Amino acid sequence: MTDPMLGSGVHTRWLAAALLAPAAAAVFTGATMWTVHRPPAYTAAQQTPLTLSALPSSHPLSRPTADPALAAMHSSVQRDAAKLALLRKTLAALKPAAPTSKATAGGAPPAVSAAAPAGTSVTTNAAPAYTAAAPVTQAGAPAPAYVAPAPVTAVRPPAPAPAPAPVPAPVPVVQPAPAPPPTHTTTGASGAPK
Amino acid sequence: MTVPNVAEAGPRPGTGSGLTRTFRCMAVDITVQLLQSRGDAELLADRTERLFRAVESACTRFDPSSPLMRANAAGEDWYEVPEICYAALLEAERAHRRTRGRFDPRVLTELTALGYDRSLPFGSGPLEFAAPPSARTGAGPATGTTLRFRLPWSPRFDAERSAVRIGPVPVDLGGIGKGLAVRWAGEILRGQAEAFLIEAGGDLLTCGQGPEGDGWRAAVEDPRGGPAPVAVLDVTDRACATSSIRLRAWRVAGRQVHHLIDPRTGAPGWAGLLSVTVLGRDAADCEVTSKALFLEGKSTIAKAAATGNFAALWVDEDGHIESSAALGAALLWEAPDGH
Repeated sequence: MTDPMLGSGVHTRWLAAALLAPAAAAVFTGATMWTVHRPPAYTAAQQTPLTLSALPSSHPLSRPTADPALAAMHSSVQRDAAKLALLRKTLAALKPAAPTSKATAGGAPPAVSAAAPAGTSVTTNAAPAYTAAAPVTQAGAPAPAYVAPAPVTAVRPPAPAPAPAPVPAPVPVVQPAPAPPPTHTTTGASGAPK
Repeated sequence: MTVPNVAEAGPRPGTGSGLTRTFRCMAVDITVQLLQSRGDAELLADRTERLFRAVESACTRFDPSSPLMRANAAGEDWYEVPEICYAALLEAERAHRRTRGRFDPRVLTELTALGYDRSLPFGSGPLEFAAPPSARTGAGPATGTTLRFRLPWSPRFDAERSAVRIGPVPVDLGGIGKGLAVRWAGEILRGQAEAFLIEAGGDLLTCGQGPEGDGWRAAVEDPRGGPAPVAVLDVTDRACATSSIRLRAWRVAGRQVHHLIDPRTGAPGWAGLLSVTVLGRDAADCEVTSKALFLEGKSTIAKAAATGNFAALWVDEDGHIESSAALGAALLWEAPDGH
């Protein structure tokens, strides 16, 4: 004679197993998929080309990262920073020549403030507000001074020449239509007496 | 198609002469010009003229006793006709099939209802009928553009007896008669002269290099009646025909009508065109094609001409001139816009 309590327990276990097994399988599958699509982690001791950079050791981004993707992003940022520094230097070198080129353009002179003393920067409406980066110099060498552009009012552009009077469009010469060649007969009269 | 027998005398030995003869026939002026004929030029001209008159006599609708009108009266009965009338009806049936019904000679009733039941004095001034002669036909002129359904024209022919069975609807051969006469006249003259020109109310055929030796040229008349032509065509060794409403137009009950009946409506075709000129090898085919293209109308004629590879030139109601690509170098001169 079977124990009824034992029979119901078997059913319960089977029921629990039937519910838990699929859930466990789903969790296992998800974890597997997550693992497949995630790159393996590197140990701190491993060095990859992505982590080799010219950043100073004090740079927060110079510390090797365990995530190669993140390391690649860090190196990209480093490169962009270097480029940005170079651009800043170039712009600083070009700035003194900017007012002269504007004066000879022939257009309306940009709105500027009153003549400013040399040595100070002049900001015109046309030029964007910009703060030059501090130049990198060697010890002992005098830092190059930022030469303020000469005030526009000091060099007045010549008055534009008056626009020449518009040349009237040439009157098209209408060539007479060529005469038809001589013919021997006509078509189209449908019997009109000639 | 051989030239129908027309009684004539045999030619005398060639005289090497040329001549130009003009006579009135089929309600039009007909010109026959021979250059350096190898036979008797007078005799050739006589033969040509007799041919035209024979075609007119056999195929006119203005004479109730003509073979055509008697065959029309016979309706669905067999009726024996002269060879020339038999050949003309046969060609008309061929043209009807070739144009898929766009050329349909069964327009006699409509023309009669519009008052064109006799030879009218076109060109002598405006013509107007106060009211349609409906008493003669029992029906007034069709109005509007209502399409009508018609079975294809199916005449019957008996070559042995030279008999025809036209059918219940009478026919008119005015849309092909002149072209056929020009074709047959050309067959008479071909080989009989160095060059010739046959012109019948605008339907023409040439052969050889013309009087100056540089070909034949034809001026396309302005369908609006202007003195200057709208174009000049090279018609050397070619046939040419024009369908135009310039001349054969009149008024009926205050309504402007003309002779180019659209078989789809039974009314004169008004589709934006004033004239269509077609160049080709055969005068009768050119005449049929010019009418079919005219009824196509301004909006579709270009496509129809291109599809059929027809060398055509047309003038629309605004005076604008256009031509098909097939016309090519045959178009020697064209009037400028705004002519």
